[in-house]
Amino acid sequence: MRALMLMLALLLSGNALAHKASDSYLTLQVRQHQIAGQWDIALRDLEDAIGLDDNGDGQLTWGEIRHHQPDIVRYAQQRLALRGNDKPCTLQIGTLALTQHVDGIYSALPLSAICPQRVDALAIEYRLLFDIDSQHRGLASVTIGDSTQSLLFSPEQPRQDLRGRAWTDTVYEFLRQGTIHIWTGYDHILFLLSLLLPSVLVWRERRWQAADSLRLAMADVARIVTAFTVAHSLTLTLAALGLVRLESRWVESAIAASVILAALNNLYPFIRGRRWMVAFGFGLIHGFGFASVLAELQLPRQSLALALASFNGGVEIGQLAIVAAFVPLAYLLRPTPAYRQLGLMGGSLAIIGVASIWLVERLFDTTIW
Amino acid sequence: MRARRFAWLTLLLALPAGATNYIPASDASVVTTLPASKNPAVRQLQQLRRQQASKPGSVAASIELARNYIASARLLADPRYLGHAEALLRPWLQRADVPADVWMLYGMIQQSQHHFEPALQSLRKALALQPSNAQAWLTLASVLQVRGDFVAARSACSRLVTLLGPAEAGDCIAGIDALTGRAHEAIGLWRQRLASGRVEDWAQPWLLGQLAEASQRLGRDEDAEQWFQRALNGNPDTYLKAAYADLLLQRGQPDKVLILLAGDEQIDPLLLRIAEARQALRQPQAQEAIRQLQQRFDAARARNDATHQREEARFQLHLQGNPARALQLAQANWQIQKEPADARILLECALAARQPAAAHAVLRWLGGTGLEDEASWQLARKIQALLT
Repeated sequence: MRALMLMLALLLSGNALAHKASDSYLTLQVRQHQIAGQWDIALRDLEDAIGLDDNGDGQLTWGEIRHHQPDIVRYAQQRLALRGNDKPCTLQIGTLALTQHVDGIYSALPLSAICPQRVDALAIEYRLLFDIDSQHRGLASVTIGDSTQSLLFSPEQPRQDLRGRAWTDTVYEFLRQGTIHIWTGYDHILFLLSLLLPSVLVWRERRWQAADSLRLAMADVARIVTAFTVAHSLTLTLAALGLVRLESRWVESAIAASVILAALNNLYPFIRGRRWMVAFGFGLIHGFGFASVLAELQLPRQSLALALASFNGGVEIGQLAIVAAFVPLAYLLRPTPAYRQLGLMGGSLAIIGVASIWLVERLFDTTIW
Repeated sequence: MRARRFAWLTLLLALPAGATNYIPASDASVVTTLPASKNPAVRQLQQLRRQQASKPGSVAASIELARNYIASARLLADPRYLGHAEALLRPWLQRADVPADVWMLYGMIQQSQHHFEPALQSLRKALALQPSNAQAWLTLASVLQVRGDFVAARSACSRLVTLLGPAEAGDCIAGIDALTGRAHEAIGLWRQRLASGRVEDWAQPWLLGQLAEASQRLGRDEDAEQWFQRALNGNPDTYLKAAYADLLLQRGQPDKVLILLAGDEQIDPLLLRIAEARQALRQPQAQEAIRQLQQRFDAARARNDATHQREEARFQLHLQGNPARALQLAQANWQIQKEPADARILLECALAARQPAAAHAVLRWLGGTGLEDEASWQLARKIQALLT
């Protein structure tokens, strides 16, 4: 024996052992207060743990396995504990079948569990084989609501806790995304600003003049912002739900065109008092623009309405922030010639310039800038 | 990183439960054969297991059983036995007074898992308690050697002179000489040992393997071939077969590889060589072997097992044509171990990925240690050529 050990010392260096070590595979799906899934345990491991080869001939027959079904079920059941919201769930293991994995044949145990209430937080305690094999690992895939998480159980980490994605997380996440997308949506911002620039002015004697009434100016702003919001929320929802689909090239080009027209209207005001209608009309198109961005975020299936509403909410909050920053400043500056000439005229010209570049880029799928 | 590690697992487990389940037609149908059940080593294990179970408080019984588990793990290339050994030792490791042998065996387990730093710690603890533990010195020497810490390894080997005898110590030191610019001396010593006829049976395959690899490194391929052939007559283990397969692949003889490794597809390092041979012969079965290897590497990654990085680097480079990924793996591997094969794979990857800077550490190390390895130096020259 001494000799054997000496040989081992010399030979073990740098040599990776050949077969795979012991793993079990656990899948669980949590729905409301019920859990369903499957647990695959290697026959080899069951043989080591409880002994299946009754006649000792080195071969496991289906009959031998079936004979030990109650032992297998009891062995597994004692080594897995599920708790929902910190209350124990009753675990049932059904009739086993067989399945194949990379390193051999496993028993496939169907699992089901009932928990006292709807599961928001799941705790899993896993103890399979650790008492006889420190290298055994439990590989688990658990789905709660919309999220699937992968877990690794080891003697060092026999217990893991997970929560489904709380509705508050969904709301927060999509609220955030909506806000980001309006703040980085320069075409939307410029469209809105183009419409808002003249809100603090009135068209009299063939030119823009400072508005007298704050109340009337605010009313104008409110009408425009509301119209824009309602319109883009409508089409965003329709597009996000897949009810209406428009090709992105045309949508983006139309948005660029809308910005040009809105700014042009400041230089040649053919629509003065009813700019909210412009906001509504073009707002419908802008909504499709938001939808294309939302498509990349993967709306969760189970809380779609919530996510959509939150995203929309984020857009509105972001928009309000811009308006709240811009309008008071504009109102204060409105009597100055600088506002009318530099701000309104100059600004609108600049906007037309930028939006024209966008229009060409988007229409012809190219980049100029 | 976590996402990548588990990506395959989520895919696999996303299959509807029951998709691949089945039930055999009759009770008599054989579902699976238990590995090595007829092997006498396994019978002995069962007997020792019964003994240990009847004396759970006896540390001696546990140590004996753990020793046998580790031996079986090596013999059968099966890591489950290491898991059994570790589980057996755990309760003893948690007590206030851990026996030296328990630390030593734990160190050997950690060594097999390629946790070399923890292994060194365990072995040093064993030696602090029992400085005369020859097994611990020998294991320490081999871990230090794999880590490329040759000065300390040599010092550990020299302890064996008084504890085991000059012949064993000489073998140990020769192993280090072979890697530090004194390969000719090492080969000479080992040849003498063989000729003297005083080499025990268990040591012969090891000695022959060392001779073969050292000869191959010096470019003496015919000599290497002879040593490998002689070693095959004994009971060649996975390590020997893999090393011989590498020589055959290098000499452009993939057909012989398939004969040598026939039936060894279950063993991961050998499956790698089989796949390379099949690819060299343009056989359609190569694809299947590649697919299986990918599955096995993914399975290892899912359980945080990083012992196969050298093999995986080779797999990515030669079989998946992904030199960038291969280089990453080779570099990670080099952090853990520094054997000639580790140096070679990193140089190969750096060359293939056209990143000569990545080879810098290895080139410096080669120069510092004086390793005589034709293949490494050829690769080094090609990399120098890239730089100029």
